[in-house]
Amino acid sequence: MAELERLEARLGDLAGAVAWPPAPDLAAGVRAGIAARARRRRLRLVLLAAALALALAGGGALAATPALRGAVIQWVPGQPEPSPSSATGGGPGADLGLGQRYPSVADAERAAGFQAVVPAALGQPDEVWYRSSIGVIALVYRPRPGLPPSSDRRVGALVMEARASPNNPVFVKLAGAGTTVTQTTVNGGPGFWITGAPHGFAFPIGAEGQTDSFRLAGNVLLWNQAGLVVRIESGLDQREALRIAGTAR
Amino acid sequence: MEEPRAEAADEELVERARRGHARAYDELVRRYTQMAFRTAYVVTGSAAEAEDAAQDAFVKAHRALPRFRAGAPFRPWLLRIVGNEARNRRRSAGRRAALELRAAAIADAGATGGASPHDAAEAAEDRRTLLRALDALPDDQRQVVTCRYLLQLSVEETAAALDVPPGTVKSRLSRALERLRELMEPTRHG
Repeated sequence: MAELERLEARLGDLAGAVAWPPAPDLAAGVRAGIAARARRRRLRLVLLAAALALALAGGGALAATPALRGAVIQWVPGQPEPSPSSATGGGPGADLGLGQRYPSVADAERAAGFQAVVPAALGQPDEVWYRSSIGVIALVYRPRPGLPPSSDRRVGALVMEARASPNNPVFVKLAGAGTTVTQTTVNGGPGFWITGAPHGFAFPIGAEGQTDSFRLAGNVLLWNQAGLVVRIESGLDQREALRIAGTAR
Repeated sequence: MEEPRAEAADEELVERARRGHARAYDELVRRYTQMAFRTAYVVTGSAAEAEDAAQDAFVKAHRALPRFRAGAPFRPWLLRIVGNEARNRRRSAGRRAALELRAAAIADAGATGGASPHDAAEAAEDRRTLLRALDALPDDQRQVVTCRYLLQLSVEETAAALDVPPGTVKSRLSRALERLRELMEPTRHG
């Protein structure tokens, strides 16, 4: 035992006496690598947006989601990458680019010019938002018993809805490796359940199909109801998400 | 290792880097370049590959910062990325990492704490013998001893760098020390 302890002591002494190869200066190379990666990511988003714009121009935008109006699920190779954390304070709605906050659903409906569907099972939303540039009403529900945190730990459920135009999607999904998209029916309307690996989510804006607010989303139920395209993002499983969506009126 | 174990400062730098402050990340790179490079060198056995692995690891770590758990120690998290990158490069090269560590030349008696030239020469020979024995160990044992004693990583950091559970680090260390002792036997009695 004492011999082993002596050996350990000798190894400890050796630490200061080893002639390691000189450590290189990595700072410049790391900075260049980070910048190159950022350029590649921007290019990828531009290409995806261009593909979307092209599809829109050709009237084939909904080929990927044949039964749904107002949303596009675009398959991408590999796994979409997250944008840097958007936690800048001001509450989840502000950080998620949901637009302007309203005191009630009725106020947001007046601003939007359409009547929102609200899942009765979730009760009153904690925050109501409307983003006028894309016409999306968003209802934020904080986590609570029975409503676990979603991919954003501050949010239990995020309901977003907009008029469902067949030629003008407001929601763009970038589904990659590990994401599962299942066709389903919600309240008699067509829908999709998107789960597995987090998928990319963006709002398309502008005539050229640019996207913004690109981020990763967790489990999402997406469907058409009452002329709207509605999505519920949450940490719930499909069965529970469908139950809640079933109470949307 | 010379780098300070300043976890609190690391935490602050990581948080700033997550918010997009390039200089904060530069500081983390500067602080951990030596540790990352040497760890990669232990795995790859090549200074050139270690440099590439360490650089790519820092770029990948930057990309992964949004997923870094706030309040967690940065060093083991970085070491895991460095170790993975180094192993990938080593696998691509398809060869054993022939680590050739040398004992630094000791030029004068001052560096030996005032020992006589004879004692200094004996100490230097002792280090060379120990390094030769270390190099004769199987890869997995040599890596764990080098990380733990020569890089002075903690058990958890060694486990992260080598992608094995802490218990495996301890058992490999135990076997490696026993084997080293055996390898040193003929020298000690010779």
